[in-house]
Amino acid sequence: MSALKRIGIILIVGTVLALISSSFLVVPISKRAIIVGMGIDYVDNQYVVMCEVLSAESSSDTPGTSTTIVISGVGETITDALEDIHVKTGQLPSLGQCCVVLLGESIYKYQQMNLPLSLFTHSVAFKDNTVIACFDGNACQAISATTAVTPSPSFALSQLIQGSQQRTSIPKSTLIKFISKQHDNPSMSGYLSVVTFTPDQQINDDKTKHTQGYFDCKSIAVFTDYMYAGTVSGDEYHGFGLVTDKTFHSYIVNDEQGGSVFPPKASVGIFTKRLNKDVEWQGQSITFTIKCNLRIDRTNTDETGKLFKFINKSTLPIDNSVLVNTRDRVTEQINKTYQFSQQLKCDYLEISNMLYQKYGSEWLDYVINHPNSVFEDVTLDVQVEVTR
Amino acid sequence: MKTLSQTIFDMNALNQLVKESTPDMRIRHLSGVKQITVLSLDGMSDDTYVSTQVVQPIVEMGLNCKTTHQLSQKVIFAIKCDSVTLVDKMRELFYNGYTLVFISPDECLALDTRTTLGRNIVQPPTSNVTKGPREGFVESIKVNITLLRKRIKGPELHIEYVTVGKHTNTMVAICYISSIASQEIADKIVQRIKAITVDGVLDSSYISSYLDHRGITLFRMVGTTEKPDVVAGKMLEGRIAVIVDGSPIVLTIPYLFVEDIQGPEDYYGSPEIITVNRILRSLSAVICVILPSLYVSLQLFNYQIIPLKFLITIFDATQNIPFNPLVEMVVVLVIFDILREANARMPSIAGLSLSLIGAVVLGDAAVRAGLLGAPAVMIGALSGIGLYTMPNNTLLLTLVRLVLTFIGGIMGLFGLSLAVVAILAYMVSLSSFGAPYLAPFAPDISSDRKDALIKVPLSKMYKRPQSIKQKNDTRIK
Amino acid sequence: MIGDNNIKIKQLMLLIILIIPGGKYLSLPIVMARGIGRDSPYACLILFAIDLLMLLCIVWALNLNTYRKSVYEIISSTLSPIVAKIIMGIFALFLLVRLSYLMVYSIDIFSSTFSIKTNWLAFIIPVAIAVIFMISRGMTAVARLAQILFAFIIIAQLTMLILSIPQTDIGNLQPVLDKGIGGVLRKLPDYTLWYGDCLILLFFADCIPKNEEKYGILVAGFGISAAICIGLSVVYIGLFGSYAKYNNLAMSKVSQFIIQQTTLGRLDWLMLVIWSVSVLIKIVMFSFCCMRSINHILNITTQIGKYISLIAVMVIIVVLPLLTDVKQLVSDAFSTGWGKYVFWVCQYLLPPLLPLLVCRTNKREQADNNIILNSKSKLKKLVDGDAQQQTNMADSIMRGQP
Repeated sequence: MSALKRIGIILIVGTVLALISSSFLVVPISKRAIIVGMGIDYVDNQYVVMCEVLSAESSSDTPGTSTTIVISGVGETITDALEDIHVKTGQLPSLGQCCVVLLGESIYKYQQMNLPLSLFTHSVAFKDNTVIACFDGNACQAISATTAVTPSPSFALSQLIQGSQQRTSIPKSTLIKFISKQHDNPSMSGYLSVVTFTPDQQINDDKTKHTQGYFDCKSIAVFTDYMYAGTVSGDEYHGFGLVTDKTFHSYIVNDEQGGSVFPPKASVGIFTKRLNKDVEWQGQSITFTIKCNLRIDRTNTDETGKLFKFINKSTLPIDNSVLVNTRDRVTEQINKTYQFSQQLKCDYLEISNMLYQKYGSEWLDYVINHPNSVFEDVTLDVQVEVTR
Repeated sequence: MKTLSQTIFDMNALNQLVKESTPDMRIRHLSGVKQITVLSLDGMSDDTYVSTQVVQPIVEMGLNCKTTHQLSQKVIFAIKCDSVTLVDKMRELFYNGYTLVFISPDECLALDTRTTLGRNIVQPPTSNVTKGPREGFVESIKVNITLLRKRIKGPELHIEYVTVGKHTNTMVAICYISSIASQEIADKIVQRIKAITVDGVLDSSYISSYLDHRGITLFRMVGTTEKPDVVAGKMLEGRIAVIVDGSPIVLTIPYLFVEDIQGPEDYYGSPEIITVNRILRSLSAVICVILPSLYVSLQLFNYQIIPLKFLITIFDATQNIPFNPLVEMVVVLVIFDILREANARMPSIAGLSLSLIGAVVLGDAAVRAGLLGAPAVMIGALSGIGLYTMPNNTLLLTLVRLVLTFIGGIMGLFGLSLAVVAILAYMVSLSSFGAPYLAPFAPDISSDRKDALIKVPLSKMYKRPQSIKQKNDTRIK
Repeated sequence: MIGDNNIKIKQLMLLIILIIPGGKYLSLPIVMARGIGRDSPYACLILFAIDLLMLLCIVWALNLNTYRKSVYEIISSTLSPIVAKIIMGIFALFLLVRLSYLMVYSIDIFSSTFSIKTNWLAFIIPVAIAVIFMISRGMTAVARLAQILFAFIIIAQLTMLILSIPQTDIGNLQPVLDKGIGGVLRKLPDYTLWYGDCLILLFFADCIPKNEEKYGILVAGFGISAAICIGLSVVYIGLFGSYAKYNNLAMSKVSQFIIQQTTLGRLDWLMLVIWSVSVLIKIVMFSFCCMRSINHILNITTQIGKYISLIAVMVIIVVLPLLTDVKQLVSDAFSTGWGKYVFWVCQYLLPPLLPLLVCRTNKREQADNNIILNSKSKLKKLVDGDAQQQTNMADSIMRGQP
């Protein structure tokens, strides 16, 4: 190869590399505000976004113990608010590692939910497993709080709702589930977990000015066509969990075998749940059948988690009365959640969608003329079978 | 080449050689029926041999011989002797340590009195083994061929000699098992070596550059080893060995990439353990080449891929680093290469301690001073050390790693995936004397995979490698 | 110099398994969900069944093609060179359309999913250079590359698919064929453009070594890839239900379901990157076939000419998106528009005819060979006779006879 050719090749490669290197937008992580959790509120016609971002304030001697800081931004849209953070910090807000998005009361109760969530649904990079939850109160305050065990509220919330090792009693709804259940879906109903925060009165973290307390999640907010319909809690909430998700439930029921030797009440947990839902539609009558096969065992002090098929058999036998009492309790909870859905006029049990899946467009044609039929014409048939 | 008839007009062969005489040339004239002249080269010829096996028999029994033929038939028995009439051939043999015996000035008897003086046979420093033979090649071609012959005892070990180098007159031996190796490849190699016109050959690497595919490949297309058992093993697979006088490194051809995964003691241990080791070697090579570029591209473009807890560690460690991640990684890689290069040239006494100082003190100080991030130093060091699992291609893979790091830093995962595919496309298109470089993986040759990543017991390897052209592919009947 | 193009049937099978899902995973489930809705997996199944019939015809033709003639040679010797050129032209257009669309979407993976921001040229020029480089190393090298990467790509693909299955809701696939099979069949013609990948086998008719006979594995390879594609379509609809039509890239949306732990990051993207290599291999294969069609049309046989035609293909693909919206153009003109009928000539008319054409070519070739053999034997006889005559003459001279 002649020298001239070599110089030519080097020049071409150099030019291409130079052009390419200047064309690609490079943002190193040190120039990013990596958001791990965000709280969104709507105040005075503006979105207020409070983000928990990674910070390297901790000493460099102990890497991996990075603290987080909270930064807020305000804008007409959520993107505007994030841009506000960009301007304030000079770092690019990056949502790729976001674990939690908390929507404050001002948003989830009074706004059409597809508007604030559109930023997340249209992004290819936004993870579907990011926890989207409603907060009973001001979400921005929640995101700046701390808990005793996990100082970062985002990690605490993510652990609370996602659970560790699938041991959770909270029904989960992801962004895609929430959106798709209300879009082109006859039931037009979705749900999100509702988180509450209880401040701990004794401890005040003066150093960081963060309120310490604990998060809890014992209810869900249900929506019809992206608008808030109501909050499901208590027995209705448990009933909803029983018929929708792989959640863990435990009951304390009367135990006739108990007495002087054994305690008169038994604490049992469901470790296998088989659910079969069916709908029948004839004329104006709709039958909604829920068949629920449960296997229960006495809860163990070391193992309270759910759904372990090979759990050790308890040495204490389970009496028939325990089975009957558990069945009654479960049936009651399912009935209550159904009744509550009728009361709210919110089809969060997706009866209409099931009818569509079974009867196709015939049902769609019917439901246009009879929009309330799923709340008025349905007969619920709950068949719970509890075995040991 | 001049023949006797050509030289007769100007000067006979003996006179010509004597005229060119060097200070270390020894000339003995023995008077008999005819004058017998014995020429030997001091140092290159073994003095004891010359006196006991050449001069003494001639003086005792050969003074009445009239021709070289009589001399070789009746007098000299102990050592190899050939009659030579070409002056150039005489010169070549003479300077290689042969003793020339002239009865007539135009024809001589060349007697193999080459000295075996040199390094003793020791365990080669580049491939220490815990199991298996410990002998290593030395600089003497004679000893090296003997080492080979000790392992392949039979008439089928074919050795062809070629002399290369205008001034060095280096002897090159092309060895193969005639009933296994492809004659076509052997002829091609001999042809290529004969065609070399260079003033000197000081090591086998001089020859290897002429045997490489078109001479411009990035990857090495010629295998090297210092162990005679490895060479014998490769010859039994149908490969051809090239031994160069003055070099302890023997070349084996054709060479496949997979040979770099195969260690020298792989054939002496349990197949299961060797399989695990080979998988580890190849994994570590892949990881070490890609890891720095992946780290840089993830930091610059796709932080989302990094698990959050690991990201926090990186975030902490890199927050106050003054360099861009790409520059930081390149600096680490270059420092590591500098240390490696310096270590190779340091006296062995200072080597270990200084390299420790380099690695520990330099790395730690750079991290503490906030010049470099700890993850970058760790990844750089890991990738630098891990590449030595492929000893034949270490330096090349170091270069590939650096190029990939640049591309990863400039174009992210997009550029990285393109570059890796392009490099692989380049590698699969290479072939060494008809053997596809990445065989048995591409093309997929199932019988050869018994000795690739997964090693089956020798008793189950019925066939020789199919990827190499050969005459007889049955190993076990 | 463009390298060796010989490909074994086993390698062709691997290439088929890689390239068919390679492009289909990008956007096809979404495109079909937009038009057909929940029933798109059934449409996918029907189109693959039609493709299978075409593949069987192609395989039959390849099996008959004992003289290893190229498709161009077969058509031009049996029909006419002009017809052959027209068919090659249609092929070139078909491949160019598919290529441009593929390029635009493969760049989308990196720009929108991986947030690697740059302009179109900075993205496409490295891809074009890689494609030219790989074709210059020869199709044999590309086939070997596919052999090396096959396991990694398939593992990545299946991992993304299988690990997403637990998150799918089969209920989303119901109601099954709500508007009847007629509803699906009516929409089918609009999606034929995205199928017919096995047509590229035709361009390797003369590259298969003569001793290769096991063509059945090509059908097996097609079956596997079709199963993977239909599987993806089912999983995609199962995951997104009615929302399926609003996404942009299918695979990057599906892959997010494989990691359920928030703090693990998007490790699935690493698999997506490995899978994206199959798209690159598909681009290389299509570019090679497109180059060959152009070479046949313009009778290019020189190495420089081949390079120029390859660069021309790349230039068209690079420049086209700068001038127009490729997605819209392809959708309007070729997917739903008139263009599809032109492509049907190659997709659905040529393959059934091909075995017939190959038989005719074989007969002609046989006849030509017979003529050559006959003339050779006549010549031999003539030469032998001449020699005999001369020997006789020599004998008679020796004996002193005239």
